[in-house]
Amino acid sequence: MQRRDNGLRFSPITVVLHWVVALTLLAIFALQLAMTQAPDEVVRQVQNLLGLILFLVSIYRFWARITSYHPLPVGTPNPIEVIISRSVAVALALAMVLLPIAVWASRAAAGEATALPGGFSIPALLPVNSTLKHLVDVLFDIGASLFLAGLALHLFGALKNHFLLKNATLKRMLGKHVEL
Amino acid sequence: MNPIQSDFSGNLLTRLCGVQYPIFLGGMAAISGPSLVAAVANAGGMGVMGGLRLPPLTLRRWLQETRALTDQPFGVNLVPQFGGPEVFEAQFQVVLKEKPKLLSLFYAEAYAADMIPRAKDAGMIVMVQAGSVALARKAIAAGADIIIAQGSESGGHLNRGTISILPLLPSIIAVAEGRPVLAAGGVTDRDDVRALMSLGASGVVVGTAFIATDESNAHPLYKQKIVAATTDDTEYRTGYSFGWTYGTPHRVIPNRDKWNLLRLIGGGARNIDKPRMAEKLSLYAGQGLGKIHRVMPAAERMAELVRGLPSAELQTRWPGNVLLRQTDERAHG
Repeated sequence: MQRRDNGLRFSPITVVLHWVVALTLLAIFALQLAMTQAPDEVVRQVQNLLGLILFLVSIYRFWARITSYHPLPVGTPNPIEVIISRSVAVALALAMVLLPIAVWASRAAAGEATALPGGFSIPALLPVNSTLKHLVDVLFDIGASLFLAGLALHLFGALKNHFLLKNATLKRMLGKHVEL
Repeated sequence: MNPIQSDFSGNLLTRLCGVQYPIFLGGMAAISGPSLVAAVANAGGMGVMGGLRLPPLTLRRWLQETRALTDQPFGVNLVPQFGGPEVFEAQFQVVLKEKPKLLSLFYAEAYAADMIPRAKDAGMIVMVQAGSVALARKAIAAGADIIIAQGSESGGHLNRGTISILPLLPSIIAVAEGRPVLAAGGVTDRDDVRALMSLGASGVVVGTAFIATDESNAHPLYKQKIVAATTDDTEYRTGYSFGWTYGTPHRVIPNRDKWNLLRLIGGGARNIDKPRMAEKLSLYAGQGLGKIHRVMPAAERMAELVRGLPSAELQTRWPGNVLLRQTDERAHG
């Protein structure tokens, strides 16, 4: 099995983890929405667990992304679009490493451990400090806004390729072998 | 049929490659496509396709399209570092199967020892472009049949020298052990050809002047920028150019728009790109562009270049050729 991406194709690991991350993100957003309706400690613990999974998977994904060749683009996009799309993909992978750290740091600075299901928790290793918490929260808000903008661009690119340009970019990320 | 008239009687390079004239098209990525390659080949030169950045299927299609447009020999240029080893191997497999006459390699030092014997075993002639004597020596040691001495006047990417063609050419000829050495960098018209051939070049490689031809894949605005630019208008850079490792040296017509970040990127603009690519990027071009005054058919450009080739009688007297013969005699005892 191909373990790393190369200039011709994504590895199956990349494809699977891409969709694991997408579903995890979707679940985190859905749970957040649910908690704004009715706060629930168990739901919060599950959301924390998903955040931890997202963090760990994203460390690997970010490392794999910056140490592997990216497959050649499908079709003949202009170079600037390629630069932007690849930069956004790398930035999203990095954001999914940094944003969970920011969530943990914010809670730790408030003196809260990050609770997980089954009575486990991620310890708060930072000193309680309201200034630090405020700083981390501001950074998180900025990072999250940029992340959502990047995600929107990423989705737009995928849909544009699939529906407008009618090429196999999206299918390639769904595991279809695309001969280049 | 090739209508160009010349007294040039051919040399080692033309006999090796099976072409009429030692005028080679630079293998410019995306720009040197089937139409331009075939036009140069049909005019008696060596058309070299720009294989860089082409996915293997497209490379195969382009090679087949070129073959449909000409029955003359032509070549393809590959750059192994671009896209990674898997892409290069896949491109290389296409080349081995389609077997153009010539394989041109650039930035291939890490691959040359493996690739050159494989290409030669498949019956191809292998040419390596080098911007320094050290790189030329490496290519020769790896078995290259032809060396391009790439002067720093050249447009696009430079490997990696900052040496201009006048000192570089004789230095590479001196270590080439009798192999043909082509001169690249600023070659635009008959005077350039005459000057470089008189210094011992077996032929010339022409890039920028062929961008401004009807058959090139360059965007019309790109061609117009080349026509409008003067000799002073290129810049040697080591920043970012699309798809290349940051810091790879290249020469461009710099874009000076203040609020345009794309001006920091070196690139070419294809006819399939939107006009803003040609308007915003800093476009690859060599120092010879001050002598390019209009877009013309490639055959017309070829005819102009061929007029700089020496007559059969003159060929025997030029000091560069005497030097080449002496080097050849030394190399072969």
